[in-house]
Amino acid sequence: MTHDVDEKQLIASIVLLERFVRDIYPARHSSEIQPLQWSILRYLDRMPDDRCELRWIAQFLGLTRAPVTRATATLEGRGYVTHRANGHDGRTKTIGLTPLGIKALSNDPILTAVKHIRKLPEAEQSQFMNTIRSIALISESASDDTA
Amino acid sequence: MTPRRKILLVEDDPEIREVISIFLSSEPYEIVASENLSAALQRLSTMGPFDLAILDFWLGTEHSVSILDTIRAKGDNTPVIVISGGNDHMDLEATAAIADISGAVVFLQKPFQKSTLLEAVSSVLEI
Repeated sequence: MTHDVDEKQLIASIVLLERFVRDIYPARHSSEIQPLQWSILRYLDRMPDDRCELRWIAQFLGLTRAPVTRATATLEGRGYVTHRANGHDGRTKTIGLTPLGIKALSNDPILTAVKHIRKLPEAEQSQFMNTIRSIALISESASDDTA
Repeated sequence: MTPRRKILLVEDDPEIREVISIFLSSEPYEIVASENLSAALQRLSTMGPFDLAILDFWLGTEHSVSILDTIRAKGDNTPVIVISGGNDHMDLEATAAIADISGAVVFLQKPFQKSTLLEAVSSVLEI
């Protein structure tokens, strides 16, 4: 099978994509919010309160509870999240963003990437989103093939 | 009298489809249920317009992105709620991201309670 697009060019584009994503997380030391912790903050921001339990967060992120528990404990220790009584189920506690957590989200590194993409013409922004979506769906099919 | 809102429900699991239909039937909604992609696309073209679509993301081995694309391609502003419990190959964070890109207004993680669904539906329909 022949390909019109050169393999080297495809690899180069992934190198740039990888650098682009890596560069939006400039600080790598442990005192900074780490990618998993960002995912947890984003989850707490978008989901209704009754869904903000460890089990739902872990399910959403495709992880076991242990890493989510550790990441949440770190976020709580730094004042970004807090545990509170679950209004829907007295046996459990939910996790909520504190004012500091809400403020941190305004500096979410992903927003930096969004600012860059926003500089593209609108058609290219749509093209970018559709391409990323297609890659995600194709990756899922590829996983199916190898299962 | 307020007209009944018409909702397209696409869910491949017959039990979940039944439960969601029961949840929604407690409100003045008309439910048009479909079990797969082709039935959903057929109902979209013959029974629309809909006030809301509730789509399970994974329909067996297929996904419901093409239903979202069909709705958008028609220039139709029907709001869409995507529901999913995930699958073995894609976590819900990625599934929700794909739903967002595709224009879904709400993503609900399965399983959910009746109140969660009804709150989402009424917020989308601005009731």
